[in-house]
Amino acid sequence: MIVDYARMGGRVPPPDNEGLQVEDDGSFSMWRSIAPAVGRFAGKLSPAELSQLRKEAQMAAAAGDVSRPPTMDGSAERFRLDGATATMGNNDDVEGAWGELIRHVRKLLEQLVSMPQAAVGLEVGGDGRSARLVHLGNKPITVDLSKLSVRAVLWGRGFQKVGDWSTPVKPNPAQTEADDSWNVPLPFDHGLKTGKNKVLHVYVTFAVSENGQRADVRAEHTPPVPA
Amino acid sequence: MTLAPPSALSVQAIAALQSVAGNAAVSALLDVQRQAAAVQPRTTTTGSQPMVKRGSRGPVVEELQTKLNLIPTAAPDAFLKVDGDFAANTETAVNAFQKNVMGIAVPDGKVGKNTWPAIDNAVSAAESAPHAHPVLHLNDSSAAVGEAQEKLNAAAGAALLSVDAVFGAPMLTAVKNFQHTTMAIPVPSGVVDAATWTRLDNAAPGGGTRASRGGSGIEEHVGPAGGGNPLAAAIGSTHPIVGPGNLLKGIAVKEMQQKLNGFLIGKGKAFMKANGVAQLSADGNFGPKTQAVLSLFQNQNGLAGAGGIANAATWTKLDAFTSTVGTESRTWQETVGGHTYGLTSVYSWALTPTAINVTVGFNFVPPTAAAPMPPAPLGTWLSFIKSTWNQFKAVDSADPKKSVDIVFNPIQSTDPSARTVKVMPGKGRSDAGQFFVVDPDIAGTVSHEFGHMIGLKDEYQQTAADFRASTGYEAPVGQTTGPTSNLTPAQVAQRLQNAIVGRAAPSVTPSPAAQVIAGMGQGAFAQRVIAAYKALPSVAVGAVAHVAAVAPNFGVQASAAFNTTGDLVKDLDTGLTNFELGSIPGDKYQVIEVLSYDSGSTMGDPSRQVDQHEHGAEPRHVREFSQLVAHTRGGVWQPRQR
Repeated sequence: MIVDYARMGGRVPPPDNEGLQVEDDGSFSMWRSIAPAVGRFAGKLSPAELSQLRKEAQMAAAAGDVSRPPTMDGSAERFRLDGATATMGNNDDVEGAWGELIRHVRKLLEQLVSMPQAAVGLEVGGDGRSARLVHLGNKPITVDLSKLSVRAVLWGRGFQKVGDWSTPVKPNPAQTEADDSWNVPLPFDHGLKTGKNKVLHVYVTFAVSENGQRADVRAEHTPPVPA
Repeated sequence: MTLAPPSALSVQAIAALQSVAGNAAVSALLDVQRQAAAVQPRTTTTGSQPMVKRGSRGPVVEELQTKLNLIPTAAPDAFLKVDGDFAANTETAVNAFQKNVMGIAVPDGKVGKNTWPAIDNAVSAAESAPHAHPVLHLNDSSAAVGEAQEKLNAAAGAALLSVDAVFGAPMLTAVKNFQHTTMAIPVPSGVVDAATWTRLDNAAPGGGTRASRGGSGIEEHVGPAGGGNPLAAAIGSTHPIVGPGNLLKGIAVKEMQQKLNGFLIGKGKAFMKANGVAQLSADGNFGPKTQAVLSLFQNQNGLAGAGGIANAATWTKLDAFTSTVGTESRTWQETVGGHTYGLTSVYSWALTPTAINVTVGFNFVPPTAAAPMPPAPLGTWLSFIKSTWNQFKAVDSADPKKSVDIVFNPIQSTDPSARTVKVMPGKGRSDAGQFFVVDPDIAGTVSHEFGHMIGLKDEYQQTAADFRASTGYEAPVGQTTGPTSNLTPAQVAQRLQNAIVGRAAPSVTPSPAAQVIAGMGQGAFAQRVIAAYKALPSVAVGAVAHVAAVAPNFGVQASAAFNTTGDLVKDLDTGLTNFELGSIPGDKYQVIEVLSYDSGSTMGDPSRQVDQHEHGAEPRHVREFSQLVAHTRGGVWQPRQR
């Protein structure tokens, strides 16, 4: 193992519940609960990426353990290497050798959602008037929509929230096996007026299970918001 | 076990009255008191509400949404999110109410002078609708038993019973005591029959779910509105040290000067002349004159050893006097999900004839020392605090017409006492130490964190005792049934202990702890598991060496040895230090969540569907400030909605 990362907790549900393990040969397994796509991701890092990560991990391990208390109401992160562990609050900034590795791993967490194995993605229409959940990857995943909720937030200039719409929690068919062409159109009559200098973000909360273990998740569509 | 009487009558007074007038008379008197308490409005808003319509925001909209959720005909197939935002869903529900309940053919979707009373009447009708109770006997187990336990606790004003939904021997004793004391039954049956339910309902309104009244399955709270103490207990003095080598300027110095003046006035002019001192100007500057009076005060109060510095012991004596300004520096700890966090809250306050103004500083900084400050809506963030918290006043109990507004004034400040918060660019989930510019939940988070800055504890992942102490409400009945595996509470407790002890084993999918609690929810059954765990003998949990991950498992994190304590949540937090209990990393959080309680207030779990009596920030959260008013003005002052 080169690095074993986990992030969990936080006050606002669903909790952060993210994990990434990169093995010596560059193969990785990742779980994402709050991301553009949620569920299991797997694959192999490129040789260049792997080489860089291994170098950073060796330097961090040589620097020894790091232990910082998590911030109140925040989630906690843990980075485990061969021979050293770092624990800290989510997004804590760390100097030195650990800093390079931590920033790299956090970046990988965002990038590797492009390699789904058994996951659910959120697709939002280009005109912002439709949205659906879709299965991603080559393995099935159990999806529980019994507490599905959809939220659309419109961001305006200066990071001001200019619209906030959400569906009520409605009972839906409880559990289903998502595979291949599985997709579910979402209720999306938000009525928000999109346009110049406005960016629409969408958050869909539901639950998925893997091997009988259930996790509350939030699939997000969050394009950049200009200042 | 003896039921505690209402606070207005002491045990001795009741005994004396009983000897003269008999049980029946005492019971009748207590009933009058309880019924008087029962008719107090349980909602925290009073008076006429302003007109709200689509686009309106704030606590009044939250009140509207919670009330509409109580009226099934208002939102026939939907439960409104109580977010204080009068958007399309709320408007649809208002239209449905005006059409279906008020009989308006063309509803306007606005809630004004006609619709508010109609909604209030509909809520009252929903609340007073017959709430059928089954007769309860020893050894029964049901949600109704849990509800009776809540009411017995609330009626007694003490946590006599765990709300575990099991009618055991402790509950039998409590029921008999209630029947004997409150119902004046000489030989009580211990059966919760219709008459006993009626008395319990009078003594402790609420309880049960809206499902029984045709609405959703959200439980009604049992317990007095305005009860509870959400303020964290201070470790040490709440005053900063003032004097040479410490604070020499500012509001704390001014507070001390005012209180020293109170001391001098009490002593009289002759005393001042004899000691060569005069009243201080109370300008917030610690000069020679202030030093002289402080030293005199200390000499007069056996504090000469303090050496002219206003330390904790000096402040304790000074607090006998009043001031119109002050600084509060509260260092405190809390336990959330079995984990202990610490914080220091600092604010200053100033009392005017019409308001107590509370100032709290935020020191916004870039994400790193080297990074520039990202563009951020700092003013908007601070405005969230005002819209959530500036809705209360302190009211003089002796003359309710007298009140002062409680006004919170969050400011940007680089003073060392200000809370440092990193301003984070891009999207993310904010917490006490960092605010993201793109966070859809930022309004709630900023308001929650401000609550900590005025000394309030969290109200999520709480033990039953902490939930009760903070909110004043009894722990809700919640889920009375066990996990999908049909294990008994004792079996669940034993298996959770086994999971803690066996933590060194390579993790499996799903984790042992997650397997055990699958299908469980917060509430009565979980409390039975906690009780069963407490009864287990303490066992030694060995140290754990690092175990490398082997796909698909995550391995185990190194951890120190410890002995189990009988506190299940604490032991889970201590014992399951590894993040990787299963293939999904964070189910330790979910296991603890099931075994705890959350309130729906600003300080609790923001996703929880709230009881109609919860309004985000509640008067109980600002009681500290009404007490500051009382200390200065005298009398008893209570926090109320404006």
